[in-house]
Amino acid sequence: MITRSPVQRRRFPSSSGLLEPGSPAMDQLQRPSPTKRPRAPPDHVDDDDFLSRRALEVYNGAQRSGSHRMIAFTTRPETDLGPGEFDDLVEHFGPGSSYTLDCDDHDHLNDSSRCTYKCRSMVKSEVLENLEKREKQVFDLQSSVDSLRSKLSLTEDSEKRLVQSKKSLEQVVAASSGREASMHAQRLQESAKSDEMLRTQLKRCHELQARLQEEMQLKAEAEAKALAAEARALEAEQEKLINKENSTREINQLSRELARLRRDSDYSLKRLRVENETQMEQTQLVAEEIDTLMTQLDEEKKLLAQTVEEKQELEHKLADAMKQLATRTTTGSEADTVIKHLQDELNKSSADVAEARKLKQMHVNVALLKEQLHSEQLRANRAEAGLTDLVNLQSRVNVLESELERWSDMIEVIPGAQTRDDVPRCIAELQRAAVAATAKTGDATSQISELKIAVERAERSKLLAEARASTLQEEVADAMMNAARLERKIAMLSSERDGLKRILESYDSEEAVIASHRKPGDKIANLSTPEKSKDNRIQELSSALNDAQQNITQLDDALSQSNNTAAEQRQKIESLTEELNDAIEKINSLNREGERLRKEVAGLELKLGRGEFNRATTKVLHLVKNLESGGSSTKSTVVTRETNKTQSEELAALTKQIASLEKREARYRQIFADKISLFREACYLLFGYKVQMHEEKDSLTLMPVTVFTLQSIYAASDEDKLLFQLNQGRMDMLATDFTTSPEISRQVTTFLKNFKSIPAFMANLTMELFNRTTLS
Amino acid sequence: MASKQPTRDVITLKGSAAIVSEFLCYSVNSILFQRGVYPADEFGRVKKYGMTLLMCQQERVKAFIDTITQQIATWLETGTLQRVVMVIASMSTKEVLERWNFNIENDNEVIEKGVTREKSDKDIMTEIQAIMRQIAASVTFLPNIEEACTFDLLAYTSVDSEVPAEWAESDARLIHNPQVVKLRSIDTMVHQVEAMVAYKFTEEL
Repeated sequence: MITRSPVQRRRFPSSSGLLEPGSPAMDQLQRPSPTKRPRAPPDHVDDDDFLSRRALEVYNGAQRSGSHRMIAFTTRPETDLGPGEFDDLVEHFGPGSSYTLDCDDHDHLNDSSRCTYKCRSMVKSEVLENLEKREKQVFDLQSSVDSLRSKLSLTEDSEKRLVQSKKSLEQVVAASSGREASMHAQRLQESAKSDEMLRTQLKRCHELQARLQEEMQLKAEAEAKALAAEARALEAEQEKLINKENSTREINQLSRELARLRRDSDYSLKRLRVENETQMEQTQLVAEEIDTLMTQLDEEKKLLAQTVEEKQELEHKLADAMKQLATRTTTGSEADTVIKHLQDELNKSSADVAEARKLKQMHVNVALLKEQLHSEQLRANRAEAGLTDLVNLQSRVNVLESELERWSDMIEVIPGAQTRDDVPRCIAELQRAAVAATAKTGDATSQISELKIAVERAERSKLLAEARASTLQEEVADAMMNAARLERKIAMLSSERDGLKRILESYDSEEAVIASHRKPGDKIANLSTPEKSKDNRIQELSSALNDAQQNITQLDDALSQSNNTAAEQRQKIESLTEELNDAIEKINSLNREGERLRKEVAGLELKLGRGEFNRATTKVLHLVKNLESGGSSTKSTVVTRETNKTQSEELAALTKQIASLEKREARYRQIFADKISLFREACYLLFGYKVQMHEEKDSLTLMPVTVFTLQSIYAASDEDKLLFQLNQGRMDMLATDFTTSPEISRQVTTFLKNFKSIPAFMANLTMELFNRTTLS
Repeated sequence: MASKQPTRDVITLKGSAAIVSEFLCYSVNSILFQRGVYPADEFGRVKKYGMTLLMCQQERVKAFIDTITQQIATWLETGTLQRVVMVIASMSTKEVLERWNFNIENDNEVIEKGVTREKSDKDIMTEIQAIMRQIAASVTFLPNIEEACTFDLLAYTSVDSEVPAEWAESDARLIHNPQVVKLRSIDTMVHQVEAMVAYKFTEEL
């Protein structure tokens, strides 16, 4: 009890040193005060309550301070307080709260004693109040315990009932859970089916992808093939080109060589011809020489004959002379000398002849030598030219040999070619190979296009499959949504069920309350009504359940219908997409066709432009007598065109000439006119007649005749005119009034008819008229 | 009942053949003048198709073109003529310098069944005028002809057609690597004539 609180423990040692039994302080303490009630002995302190201890403390404090203090001892309460009550008290006062009044001050001793009293009385009243309160509380608690006990029994009963109802509800729950499980299983099956479908679709999709990849690979291979083929074709073409170039070069070189050789041969031919000609000339010369020599020989022979004759003559002469010498002795010595002289001369002349012969021979030889020299020189020139030619030819030969070597090298390089003749064959083969390669490339391109089409198809099918997969996914999503819906429905149902349960519970609780309120005697009588109500409720519930089930079936139907419609729509969509794809394919194929046709049209137009035509359907005709075949006319047109030019030039020149001539003519005319007028004037003045000339047609023969009208300077009137007509060199006078006048007619008869002289008539007439005018 | 207008616009096979052959005659003459195949003073002015055209007055050329025009008309009536080509070739080298191509499309229904078509004369004349103007304008892009030239007319007929007397099969006289310029076309609704000129292409150096 003492060691309850640390405060107490702390406090006690502080006082224990002082609180020894038998000590004077203790004696003082035990001493009873006259105003106080007999107090409990101090050994009770250990057993007593807190208040006593408190009092002790107060007392100890007073002891220490040496002052007298009144300490109140609380008696034990009559009511038995439980240990809890003391605890409460302790708590009430608190370890910190002190009711002690430390009166250490010695000056206020009286005051302190009064205070302790007050304190004691205060503590006592408080304790009493507390006690009362506690007692009341105890009573209350006991009543509440009683009520709680009764409640416990009630709750146990209700618990039992609840357990029962719980069991029944658990059964219901189990049934519903079983239904739920079955539905769940159904949904799971559905979902499994859809999963399977999805999986199969995915598998198909994968297959299609694999196929697509295969197609792509095939395409890539085909492209690679096409590329290789193209490369090969290119190579072949390059080879072909190179070969072509080489061959063309070779051909050119060979043609050049041929031309050179031809030139050489021509040259040699020419040379030979020239040589031949020179030879011919030489032979001719030789023949001429021979001829000349022959003639010379003849001459020489003649000379020789002459000289022989001379010699004979001389010999004869000599013989004669010898004879004469023999006969004539007088002239012997002279003759001898002459003979000697002559003989000398003869010898000389014979020597001369011999010399002349020699000289002639020499001359001939010199000419021959000259000829030979000339020919030799020519030959030497030719040989020099030949040498240069030879050098040139050798260089050419070298070049050709190198070319030949190159060619042979090239032929070695060309596979399958052994001779030069093989080169064109090789080229042809290469061309064929190129053609084949191009054909291959064409095939490859066509394959590529086919593969492209296949790839397109595969892509389309892939798209279709994807679309299908998406639709399936949508379906799955729908199914999932349905499942979710169903789950929600289940949740709703379970909530409904919970609600129903709660209603049941509430009913049960009500029932329990009613039951608890009823007396046990009434229980049996009223037992039928709650059962009935329960049955009713069950019926209601079952009906509600039926309704709910009907609802579920309706919802299921609606769902299946919606699913069906969705499936129909999906089918429709699929069919439409298929149609669309078909249409797209058609459009693509039509586009391709269009492009191809456009290309064809372009090619055909180009062909048409070139003028190409199909020989199977068309033939080209033209007039046999066309303008080209009879080229003469067209040529003549050109000629005329040319001649026209020249003509026009000529024309211009001529017009110029004409202009100049006309000018000249005009000038001449002018001059002539002047001269004529001058001449006429002169004639008029000299011969006294004005002569006018004009042409007329003869009235009988209708031949043009020239008529001259003469008028004398001395004529009396202007009417006095003479008319003459010149007809074919004959001059006739025509009769006029003037000539028929008697004076004139007489003159006419005398001069014209008798003497036929016009000049005399004219002179006479002039004289007559002169006389007449001057005399008159 | 029948007014003047529709009767004038009806085009028969014979009428179409006449129009087309006449057109070919005039265009050949025009080409001869424009390309200077014959000297300009050998041409006389003629009013036709609402414009002044030039016709060659050289008797030989006139006779040649007339003969061919008549034959073309008969061919057009039978529908066997496919093309008429005027070839201008060098006189010295015989090299073909220009090919004036008149491609003819025949309406087989008209030829076989004798039905008629309708098109106003004015429209046809406008088309012919356009081609004539194009021929005149072609001088601007065609290369200059510097040498003396001659010409020939080739008729492309179907293989089964009869070859008339004075006519013979000819070489097509193609130009190697030609430049082609397409000209306008005329359409009588019975015969469609597409004009085109191909010429020797000489690269500028």
